[in-house]
Amino acid sequence: MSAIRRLRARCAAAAVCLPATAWPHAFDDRYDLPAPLSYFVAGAAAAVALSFVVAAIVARRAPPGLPAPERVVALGPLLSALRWICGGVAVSMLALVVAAGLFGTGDPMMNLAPTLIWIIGWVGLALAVACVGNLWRALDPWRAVFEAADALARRCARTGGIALNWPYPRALGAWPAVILLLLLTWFEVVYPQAAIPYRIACVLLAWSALTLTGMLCFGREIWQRNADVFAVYFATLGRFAPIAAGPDARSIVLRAPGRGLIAADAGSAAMVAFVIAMLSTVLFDGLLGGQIWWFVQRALIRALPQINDDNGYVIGAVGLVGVWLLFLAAYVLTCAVTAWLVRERSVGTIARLFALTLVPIAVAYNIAHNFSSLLIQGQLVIPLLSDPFGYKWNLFGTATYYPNIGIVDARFTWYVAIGAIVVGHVISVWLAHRVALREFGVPRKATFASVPLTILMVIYTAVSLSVIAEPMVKFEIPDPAGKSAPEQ
Amino acid sequence: MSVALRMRGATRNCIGCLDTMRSRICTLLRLLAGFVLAIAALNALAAGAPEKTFNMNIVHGALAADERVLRVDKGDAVRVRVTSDTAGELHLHGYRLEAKLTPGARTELAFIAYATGRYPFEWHGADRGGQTGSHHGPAFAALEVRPK
Repeated sequence: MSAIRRLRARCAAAAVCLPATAWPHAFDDRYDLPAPLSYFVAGAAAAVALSFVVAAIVARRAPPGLPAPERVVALGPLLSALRWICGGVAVSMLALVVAAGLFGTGDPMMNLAPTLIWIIGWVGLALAVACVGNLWRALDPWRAVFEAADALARRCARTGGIALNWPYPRALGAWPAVILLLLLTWFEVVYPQAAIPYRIACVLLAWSALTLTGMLCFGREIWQRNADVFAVYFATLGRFAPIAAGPDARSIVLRAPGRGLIAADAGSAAMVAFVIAMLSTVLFDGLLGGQIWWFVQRALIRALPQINDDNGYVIGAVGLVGVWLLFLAAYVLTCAVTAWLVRERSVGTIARLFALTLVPIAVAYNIAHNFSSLLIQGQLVIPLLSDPFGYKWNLFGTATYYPNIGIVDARFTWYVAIGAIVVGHVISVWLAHRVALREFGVPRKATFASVPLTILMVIYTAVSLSVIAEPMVKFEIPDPAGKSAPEQ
Repeated sequence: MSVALRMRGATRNCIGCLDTMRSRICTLLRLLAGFVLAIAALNALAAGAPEKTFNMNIVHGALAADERVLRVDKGDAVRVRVTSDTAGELHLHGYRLEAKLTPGARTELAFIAYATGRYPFEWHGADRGGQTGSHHGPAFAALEVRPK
C-alpha cells in the first residue's frame, strides 16, 4: 500500500506532461493525521489496565478447558456454488489485472492493477479475512486454476490428478513462506515501482508460474501450507475469524473470534517466524511513513555509509529484516523467560504454543494502519472498473468519480485505530491466558506464566500505538536541500 | 433572520395586554424570539469560519522552514498566497488544487478545509524537469487539517 507512496516522484515527472484534468499522482498518498498524544496515552493505559483485568479474571474464575463454543451451519449446495462463482470471478480478475498491467496505461492511478492488487486485494482482503472468514480459499485464483485442471485431468484421463506429489523437503518447512512474505513486503513497501502496473503484471505472472509449478510438483495442499505466502498469510488471519470452513464442503462453522488461534499451536518454528513477520511487516510499513524512520535511516546511513543507494533498496531491506529480527528476538526471549518460570517445557514448545495468540495484535494493527486508506483510496476502484486500462472508457458510467477525501473524519479514524489496537491487545492477552490455563492447569500458575508474554504484548501494543500516534516528534518537513536529507 | 424579526413584531404587539394568558404567551414568544436570535447569531458566527492566510515564497524550488507546514482546523477558509522566483506548478494533493506560477507574480489558492488529514503540496519547477527530489525525501510542504 505504501508501495504506492514511494512512487510519487516518478509519477510527478509524468504529471507535468499530462493535461491538468488528469491528476495522476494522488494514488500514493496517505492523508492520515497522527493521533494526538492524549489518544496514545489513553490507549496505552487502557491496554495495561485491561491486561490486569484479564489476568485477574483468569486467576480467579475461568475453569480450564471451557467447552468449544462452535456451531456448525449447513448451507447445502449453496456453498460449493458460491465457491465456483468466486473462483471464476477471481480468475477473471487476475486475467484482467495482468492484461491491464501489460497493455493498459503506465499511470498507477489510471490503471486498475495497482488499486485492485494493493488496496482491495492485499489490504482489503486481509481485513475481510480477519473479520469474516478465510475468503481466500474461495478467491485464490491459482488454487481455482489448479483445481479445475486437476478435476479435468481426473475426469478425462482417470488418473490420480495432475500433481506429481514429489516429497516436499521436510527441512524447509514453512520457511519459504516466511522468506516470500518478507520479499513481498519489501516489494510493497521499499521497492519504488511496486505501483507501476507493468511491474505488478510481471510479478503476478512470475508468481503464477512459480506457484502453479509448486502445486504441480508437491501437490496443492503441501505447497499451499508451506510455500504459498498468500495461502499461509490468509489462513493464519482466517484462524482469527468468526467463520471457518466446516467439516465437509457443505457447511461452515461459527465460533468466537480468535478461537481458531488457540485450537492448535503454531506447528513449527517457521510458523512462529511467520506470525512475527505478519506483525513486524505492518509495523514497518507504518514506521516508514513516519518521522521515526527518517531519524533511524539517517543514523544508519551515518554509521554505515556503504549501504546507502539512490533508491534506498538496501536500507529498506535492512530496516524490514531488522524490525522482524528485533520482534522475533523479543518474542523468543520472552518465551525463554516463560520456560524458565514454568520449568517443564522447552523454549521452542512455549514459542510454538503462544505464537498464534499474537495474531489479534497483527489484525488490530492492520485495521488501525489501513482502515482510512482503504476507505479513501479504495474508492478508486469505482472509476477504475469503468476504465480498467486507462483508455478513457466508461463501461459503467463511473469513470469520472473522484474519491471523497472527507468520507472519514480524522477523529473517527483515531477512535477506530486506538479502539482496534486496544481490543486486539485484550483478545491477544485473553487468548494467551487461555492457552496458559489449558497447558499449565492451575489458574495461579497460568497467570504467573503469562506475565512475560503479557508484558511483551503491552510493548508490541505500545509500539504500534506510537506509530499511529507519532507522539515523540512534532511534524516538520526537514530542509530539502540541506545536509539533513541523506538520499538527495 | 426574517423569522426572528417577525416574531419580534408579534411580541411588540402584545406589550400592554392585561390578560394574563396573553402576557404569558407574550413571554413565551419573547423567549422563543430570543432563542431564535441566539441561534441565528451562532449560525452567523459559524458560517463566518475563521479565515487563515498563509504565504509561500518559493525560492529556488524550496520554502523557508516556517512556511512548510500549514496548520488549520476543519472548516476553516484557507488562503495561500504563493510566489516563486521560477516558473512552475504547485499541486495540493487530495484537495486536487493547483496553481500555475510565473516568476514575480502572486497566485492565490483559496478553499475551505472540508476534509481532515495531512495533504502534501508538490512543486513541479519548470527548471527542474518536474522532479521534486528523491522519492524517499519528505514532502515539499504539507497542509494539516485537524478535526474540531
